[in-house]
Amino acid sequence: MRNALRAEWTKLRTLPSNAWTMVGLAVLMAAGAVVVIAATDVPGCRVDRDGCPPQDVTALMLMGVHVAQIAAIALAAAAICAEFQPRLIRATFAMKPQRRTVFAAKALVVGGAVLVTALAGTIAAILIGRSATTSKGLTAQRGYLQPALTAGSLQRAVLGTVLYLILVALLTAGIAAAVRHVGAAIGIAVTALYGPYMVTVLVPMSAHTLTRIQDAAPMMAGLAVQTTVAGTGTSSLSPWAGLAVLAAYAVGTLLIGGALFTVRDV
Amino acid sequence: MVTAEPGLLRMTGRALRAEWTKLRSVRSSGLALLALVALTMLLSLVGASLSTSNANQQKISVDQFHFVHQPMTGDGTVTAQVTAQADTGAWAKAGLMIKDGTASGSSYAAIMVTPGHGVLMQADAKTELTERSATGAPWLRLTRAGQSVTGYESADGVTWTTVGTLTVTAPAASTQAGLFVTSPPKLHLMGEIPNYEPVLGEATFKNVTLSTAHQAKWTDTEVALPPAAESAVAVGEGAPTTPVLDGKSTWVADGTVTVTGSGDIGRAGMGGINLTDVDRVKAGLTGIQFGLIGAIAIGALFITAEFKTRTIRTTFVARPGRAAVLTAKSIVLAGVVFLTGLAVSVAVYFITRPMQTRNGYRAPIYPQSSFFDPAVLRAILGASLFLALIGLFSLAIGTIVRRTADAIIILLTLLVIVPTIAGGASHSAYAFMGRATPLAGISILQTIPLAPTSTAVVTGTWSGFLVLCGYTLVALVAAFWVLRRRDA
Repeated sequence: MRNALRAEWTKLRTLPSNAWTMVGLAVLMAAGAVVVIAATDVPGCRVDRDGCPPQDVTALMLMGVHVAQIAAIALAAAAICAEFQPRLIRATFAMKPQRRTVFAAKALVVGGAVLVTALAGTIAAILIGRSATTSKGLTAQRGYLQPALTAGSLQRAVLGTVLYLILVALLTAGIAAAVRHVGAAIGIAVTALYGPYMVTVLVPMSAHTLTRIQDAAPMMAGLAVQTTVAGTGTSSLSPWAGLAVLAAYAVGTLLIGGALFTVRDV
Repeated sequence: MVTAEPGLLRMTGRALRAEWTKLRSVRSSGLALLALVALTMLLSLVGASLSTSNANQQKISVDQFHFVHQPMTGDGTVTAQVTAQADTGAWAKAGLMIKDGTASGSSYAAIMVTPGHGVLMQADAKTELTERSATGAPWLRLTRAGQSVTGYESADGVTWTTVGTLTVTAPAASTQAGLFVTSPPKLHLMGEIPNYEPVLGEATFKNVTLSTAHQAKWTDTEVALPPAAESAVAVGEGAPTTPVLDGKSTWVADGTVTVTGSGDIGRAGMGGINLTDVDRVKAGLTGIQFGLIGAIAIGALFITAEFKTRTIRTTFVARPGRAAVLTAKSIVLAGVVFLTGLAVSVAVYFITRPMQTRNGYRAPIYPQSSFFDPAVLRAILGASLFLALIGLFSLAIGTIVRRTADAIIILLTLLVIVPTIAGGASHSAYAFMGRATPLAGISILQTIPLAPTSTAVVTGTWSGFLVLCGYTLVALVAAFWVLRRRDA
């Protein structure tokens, strides 16, 4: 297993495009926060009269996750699919006939790479996001109460976002192993994450249906882990329950993808 | 040059046939088109089955205007000539009214002129009569006899034409009669949320007479909902009830009076008052915003797959005119995506229409659309063209970046992820997306101008589509340029 891990890690890091994707994940996490904060409307609520509804500053600073997860998807899709098109996978399997080990090693390497880059990006996003929020005029008076860096909810959101990105990468790895085409893997992963969200944005529906879709959709349920102000999240689920929904999807695709990876001809 | 024409045509014909053969024999093209059809169907059908409306059952009425009035006990007649009306909107209203007191929501009968829809007569926000013959400076008259109120109009104040007779519930004892002016607010649709900007209408009246006038003094009243009740009426239903501006009346010595006022009278489906979800054809075709993922896939893969497998070298050896190759690819791709889009759009239209009717989207508020209505045909053809243009845009991006993964990621980010996040995050960012990015082309689906008084905040039917055309053209020009200059 250790040999397999080292082999996969070498393959992952020596492709220049993968190295850029890993750097990109961290940069996008922080840059995304800056862009989203800059585009946020300063609420026009009357500070003197009714007061402003509380907003989730932590989740706002972590909004870069939407672009960072594209990098996670790209990395996972590339790591699994790259060997299928020029049929290099035959050489890999000749060297290591235990296909299950090969697949596990690929998934572990991708997960580990995302863990490191996502952690760096998420911490950067919080540090940069704090000053960006203040300079945009999103103050505590307007409902944007800045959490302390030591706050448990903030630390949970940071850790949860890192885990979220790892799970998205693993979900994509499973899909990629099943479809073996980089474009298809990316397309299916993005559709699975954003499709249900798009439905909730475009289609007027009853609150009951909305909640059910939010709680069952991999992205909206998973991002509940970022919620620090009750009632503002992407799902009604509690943070860890939401992440568990995404984890279930990831495990499901990994099992299906892993099985196909093992039994299919190459 | 002229002699070269037939040869050029034959070559183009061969290039087209070659590209068509490539497209139809590659499995990924079929899967991408299948995704286009399936995703369009999915979003449209989910939308049609989840959206419901009970607007026809509710009484969503609006009763806000500036009223210049005197008491009118028993039967009587009020007459005036509208010499001028400011065009503050096609449904701005100015005319005569007999009303049970001055509280908003009480019984009334009114005859009015509008800048865009001729003469109207309304009673109790329930019945409406239209008479599209107002020209010049029309005279209006309202005569009450018991519970019946008859409206007349005239071009000269001598020959009168009956507009109609409506029944009111107002008791004869306490009615007020006089002039009213109102103008509906402008709608700014930000994301799914309507915001209203108040508009002050203005009209000038002359020869104002009241048959039963006991006093010569006219009273000004701002008929408006009490502030506390505003939020309780039709919020979220899209009926423009708030906010209003205070109007006033200015009399001149010769009996001419200029009145200003803001608000609206009538109810949803009447007097030009629309709910924001009234465009059911557009709602039915929403699915293409999801189906465009299939158009992205087929467009990008059509060229990136050739770069990846290096088949592009063979293609260029066989046909050294690179521009001709990309032209042939563009024509074949656009044709295939357009025809697939057309098939799915027509199917979606006929499948969602009865579903919407079942879910409460019925006349009178939601009149059923007709397939052969030019606006409906434009929306359906527009949906297919939208998908074809997205396909061409994707082909161009694929030509420029060459790698499948990069092209797919750029396109999905630009056309799916960023717009979706913007819709959930910020009104201003969403409005920008709808006007200035390729997704602005979705505006071609509009069959009903959202609100007659809308400002540019709502993207025009063609203006948004032209934005998409512009992006596609620029991307294709760039693609031709890099394809000729670069090594394959």
